[in-house]
Amino acid sequence: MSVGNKRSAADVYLSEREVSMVSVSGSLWRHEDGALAACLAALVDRLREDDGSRGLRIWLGAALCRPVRLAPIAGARTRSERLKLAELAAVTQSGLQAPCRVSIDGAGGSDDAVAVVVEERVLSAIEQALASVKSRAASIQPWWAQALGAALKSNPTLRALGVWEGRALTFMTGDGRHVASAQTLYPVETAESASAAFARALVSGMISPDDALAVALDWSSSPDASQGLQEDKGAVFTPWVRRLGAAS
Amino acid sequence: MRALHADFARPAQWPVVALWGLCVAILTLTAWAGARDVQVWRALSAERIKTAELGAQLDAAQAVQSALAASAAKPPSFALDARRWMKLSAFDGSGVLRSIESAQVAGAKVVSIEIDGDSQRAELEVEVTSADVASSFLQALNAGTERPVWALSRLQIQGGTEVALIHGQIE
Repeated sequence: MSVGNKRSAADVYLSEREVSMVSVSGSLWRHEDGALAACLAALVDRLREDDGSRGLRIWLGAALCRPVRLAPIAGARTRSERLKLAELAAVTQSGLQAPCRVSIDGAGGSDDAVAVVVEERVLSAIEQALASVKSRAASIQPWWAQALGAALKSNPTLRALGVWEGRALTFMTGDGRHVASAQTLYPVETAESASAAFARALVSGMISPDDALAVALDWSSSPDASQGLQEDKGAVFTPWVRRLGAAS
Repeated sequence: MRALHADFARPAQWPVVALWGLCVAILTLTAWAGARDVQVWRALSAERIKTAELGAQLDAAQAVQSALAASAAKPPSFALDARRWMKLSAFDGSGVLRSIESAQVAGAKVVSIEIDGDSQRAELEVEVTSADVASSFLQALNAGTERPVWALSRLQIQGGTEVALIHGQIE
């Protein structure tokens, strides 16, 4: 299957139990297995067959990489001390296994810092797998963050975004540049469960559905059914993104 | 809400050894190129000096050749002197004087005699009382020769005296 525009690098989506790759030519390759290691092994085999993929953009599912809204930290004297405490809190709240690598957005003094947490074992496994085929990751980013950026480009006044992919639902709410909440629920097995969870988040945040967007990354959907995000706003995998709750 | 950015990829790093190797290679290449340029410059300077020396030698040789050519075109002075001496020795000056002395005409008085042995010419200035006297003196000079040797070239009056200028070609 070949869909979408020509890319400068292949895009790889990686979650706990699945891996998908959209090559430079736009063709989709998928593999589903019960473990991350098996998914990476399948990716390595695929890359060996495809000599052209030397620089890959890795997009992590929320099962592996999650956002955590950090509460203001009281008592910390210095910035480094505040960062250290934020990292500890983020790992604890994310539900991931330490050791983790944490990237904190807005920790320089604002009271709505958001941490992005990923387990070190995941990053090491990715780097080792790619190194075995003399490839490397041009970027390793959470796909939900990329979806958030594309959604805000389309609608800067968006107040809530829900992203369901890889059996994980990530939702973020806020006004203006303020982030009120950022959380991942895992596992969320069905689209109905994800829709219900997102609806509850909207109610608790008193957010109108008109100011919200919920999308799902559904590899089984028709590539033409893109309704959620726009490729010209920087989104990737758009042919397989649909609005959550819409028929596939 | 705002966009959130997080990238966990390690930035591509050049191996330190490779960087050092690259620096050393660049420095070596630069030094080698510089040394080669200096050598080439020195060789060029030496060639310039050599060329200038050869040019000077060539100029000197040309000057010598020019001098030799000029001296070869001019007859040697001793040859000129010898030729003049031969002409002078062949010139019968006393005969000329005798013929002048023998031409005694009343009213004609020889004022000056100039004899040029090279061109074998003689020039006389004669004070005469009239043009007829000058003509008579000229006839007396040419008397006894198959063709006239002396010729009147000018007759003029100087301070009330008539002076005849007579040229003779003596062979």
